[in-house]
Amino acid sequence: MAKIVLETKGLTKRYGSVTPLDSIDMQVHEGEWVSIMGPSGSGKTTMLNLLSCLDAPSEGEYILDGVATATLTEKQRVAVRREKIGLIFQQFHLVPYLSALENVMLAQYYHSMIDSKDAEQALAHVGLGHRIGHLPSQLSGGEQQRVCIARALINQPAIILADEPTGNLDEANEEVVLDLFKGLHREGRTIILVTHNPELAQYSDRVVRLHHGKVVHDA
Amino acid sequence: MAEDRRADTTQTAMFLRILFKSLKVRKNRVFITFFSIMIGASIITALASVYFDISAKMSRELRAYGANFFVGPSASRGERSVESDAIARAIAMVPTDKLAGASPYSYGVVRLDLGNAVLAGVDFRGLKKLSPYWQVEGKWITVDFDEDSCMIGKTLAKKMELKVGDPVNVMRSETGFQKALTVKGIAETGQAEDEQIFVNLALADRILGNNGRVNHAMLSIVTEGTDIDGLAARMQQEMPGMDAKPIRKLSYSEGKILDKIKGLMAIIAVIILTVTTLCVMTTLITVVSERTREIGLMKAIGADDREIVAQFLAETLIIGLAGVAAGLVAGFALAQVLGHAVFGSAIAFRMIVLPMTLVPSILASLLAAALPVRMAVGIVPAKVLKED
Amino acid sequence: MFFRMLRQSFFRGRRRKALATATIVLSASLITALMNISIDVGDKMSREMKSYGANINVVPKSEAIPLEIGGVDYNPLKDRVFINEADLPKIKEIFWHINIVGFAPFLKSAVEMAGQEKRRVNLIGTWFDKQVPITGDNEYRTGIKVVSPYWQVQGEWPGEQGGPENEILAGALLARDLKLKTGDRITVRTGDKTPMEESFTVKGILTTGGTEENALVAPMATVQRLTGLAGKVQSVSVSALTVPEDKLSRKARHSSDSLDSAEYDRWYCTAYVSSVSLQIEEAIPNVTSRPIWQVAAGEGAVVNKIQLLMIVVTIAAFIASGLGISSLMVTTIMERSREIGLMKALGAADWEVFLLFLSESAVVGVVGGLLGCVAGAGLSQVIGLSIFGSTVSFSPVVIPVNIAVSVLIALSGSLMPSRLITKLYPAEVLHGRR
Repeated sequence: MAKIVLETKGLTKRYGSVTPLDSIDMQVHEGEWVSIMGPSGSGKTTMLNLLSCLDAPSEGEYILDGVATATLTEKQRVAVRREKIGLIFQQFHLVPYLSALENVMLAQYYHSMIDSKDAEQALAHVGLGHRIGHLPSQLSGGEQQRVCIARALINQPAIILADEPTGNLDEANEEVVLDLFKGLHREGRTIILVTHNPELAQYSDRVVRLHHGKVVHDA
Repeated sequence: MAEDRRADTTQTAMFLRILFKSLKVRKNRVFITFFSIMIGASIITALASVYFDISAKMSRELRAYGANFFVGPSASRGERSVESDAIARAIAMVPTDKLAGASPYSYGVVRLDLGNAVLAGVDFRGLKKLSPYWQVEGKWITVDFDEDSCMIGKTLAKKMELKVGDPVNVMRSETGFQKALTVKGIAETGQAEDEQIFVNLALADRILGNNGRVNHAMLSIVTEGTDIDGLAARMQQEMPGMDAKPIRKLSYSEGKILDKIKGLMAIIAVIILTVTTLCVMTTLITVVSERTREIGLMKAIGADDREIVAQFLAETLIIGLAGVAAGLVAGFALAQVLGHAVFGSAIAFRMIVLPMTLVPSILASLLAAALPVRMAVGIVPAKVLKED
Repeated sequence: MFFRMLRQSFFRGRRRKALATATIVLSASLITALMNISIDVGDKMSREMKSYGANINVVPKSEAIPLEIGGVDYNPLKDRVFINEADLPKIKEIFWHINIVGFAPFLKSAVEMAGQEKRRVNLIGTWFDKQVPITGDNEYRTGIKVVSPYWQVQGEWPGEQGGPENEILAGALLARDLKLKTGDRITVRTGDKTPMEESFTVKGILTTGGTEENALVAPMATVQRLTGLAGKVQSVSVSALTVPEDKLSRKARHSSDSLDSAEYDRWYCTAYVSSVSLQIEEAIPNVTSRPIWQVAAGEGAVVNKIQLLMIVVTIAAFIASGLGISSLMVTTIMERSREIGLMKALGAADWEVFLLFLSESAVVGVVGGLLGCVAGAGLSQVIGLSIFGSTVSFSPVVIPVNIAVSVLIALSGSLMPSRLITKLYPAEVLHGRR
């Protein structure tokens, strides 16, 4: 039985009288690919922010790779983000004035040690070995997203959190990125994917559906 | 270990790489920030240069008031005259760049066509520099061997019914001297000189029969940077039969006036610095708001607040230092413009201007960065990354 | 519609605008303060220079020529013509009476001191700090303390009447020679036909840096009594606030006939030392009033320099603030390129976008300029009080100049990125591809 990498118990987020996320219980095992789906307003975004430690829950527990994160200070959460989470965004946020290689090295820089060899390899792994010196503006959407993926992987995180990773890509690039995810899954990475695109979700091991902040399906 | 050390240098190298690339991409903003800081720094440099030099400049201007130093026979000895060599030696003891003007005086009573008058023998070239406030109709006597001309005070001229160019008989019975001198110029001072007649020292010596003795000498000495009291003491030491002393009434006022002017410069500099600091701050705030996404991203992938602050402060510091350096140069040039426009002379370079400009400018830049940096630190990644 | 857009656009980025406005306010107040001070500094420095002493000397129109060497007059008094002491308050009634800081009369007599027969010493009579009723101010006080503030007394100043002890001041050099101290009694003998002897108490030792240090200084009443010249004085030193000489005043001095009537009016109504002198001559019968050029010219030279310095500094401050604010405006506009792209995508023409931004800048300029004037007035007073110890007079001309300049600066700063505005293509800006 693979160990539990991520567990939430009664995870809740409240803003005044609004409760976007209400008492979520969830477990993710190592190597699983979980898709979180739901219509807009279902609490996907809030779920993502909490899972990625960009935000803290109002109630409940969130244990990630053995660390209870719910009660951490901002500084500590930054540390968790650095070490345990690889984030991939829909808008593939890259620092515009740094090259692809430097963008990946940035993640290393904040983490611990820079190793340009590792960074090069990571970029080769996603098929961009020949474009490491290019600026984001010189890369296509799909290439930019691939740089993000390389960056997300570089510090050997416990989980990979992706938010609509193909949302801004055309069909061809969507294919490429999807293939990459499949590859990561094969390598045994733990992937949590937030999407409303069932074509992506079909490749995951399990789908968690959210509706009005509650889990309505988990299989 | 060797590997760790390599890692360390790469960390710094990476930091610098991010730093410079970040500055390069934002050339416009960087330039504007640099420009604002440069302006602030150059104004401070210019004003500070003037501030530290103005005492010297105004001190020279205040020489327009004339004699501020007296050398004469020791009053206690009861003598009324002194050897002219002694006077010459005393005058020579004043550093040449500090001596604005000097003249010995030799007095006696003579008889003119229409009555008696006081005659004064002087060194005209020295006198003209000593007393620039003389209002002269006609011309000054310019050479010291002119034995045919005289200058007359305005009141005396009126009483004696003399105009410029008229001849006047000067007679002294004790020496049997009698000669007609030409009135070369008529002087007005509003004081005792108006009632006197002036000739060259050598001529006065002949007229009065003084045998090379004079009554006293008046000097105009620049006070800034001169130890006037020390000078007086040294003169007294060298020539024990003489009295050498500053004329207090002028030095009393000079200090007060200089303080006022300096105070004014200081206040202006502070205000201008505040204005440029605000300009820099506003620009930096704009920069931060343009980079919110970038900052949010960095925080999302694990950047500490400390790291964000370090990067921003480093960016500001680099621009600040460059701006200040440029400002120092520009400011000094500006000071020369000021100096020439107002005083007609160059402003001296003083070392103290460097720290006086550097410290406030750098502090101001950092202060200007304070609010924007706080804004940067307050950026919540979740919020900005979801925006379009 | 335009104004609705303007209003909306204006309140966007409020904080940024507030900061920009604050900067303009600050620099406008600096400029306002500087302008006020430049205009007033001549007057202020002139007042400072009063410490150099009297700049006008009033003497009777007399026939005799004084023979004065080293401050000691060799002419017998009895041949002289005098000024009536009672006429003196008229000095404070001339056209420029406000500029008369003070005046002090003199009456000098050569005397002998008991035990020092060979030596003639000047006995100078003057007012120290006398109450002189003038029209409009019964409490007016003036005297040598006002006219020559550099006179220092070690001990005490005598009263105006001499008091029961017959108080007198001994010049510092004289006191040193005769080894006089405060409290000593001295006896003085006046020469002339009817020698009088009188004893005095030295109330203080006087340091002036001038010929008075060789003399005895007594209250005017005392000397008048000694010389039998009650109600008469020989000369009056006047300390007046004047403006430096310029072309007009030099022309007038050369010959008052050379001015036409308009020029004459202007000259008379300007506080040149020569015109104040003339007005004193007109006020008191039978006197000649002359500027003491050592003081007047010296003061003029210094005040001119300082005014020039202030003007140059003001210009420098103008330019500095102007550049700083322009760059500020450039920044605030550049950051709104997105907005501009949007407006253009919606169909706005270049000039419409221009107009919007320029109007915003103009408003910021006007508001900033106005507030700046107010703040500047306050700032002028702070500077005036802290440095000169007196308030600075506010010149209304500063207001419109300041507002105009603030608006100009704000507009010029907005014009610079104007080319940028026109070059922006909406698509680029909206999709962040720059």
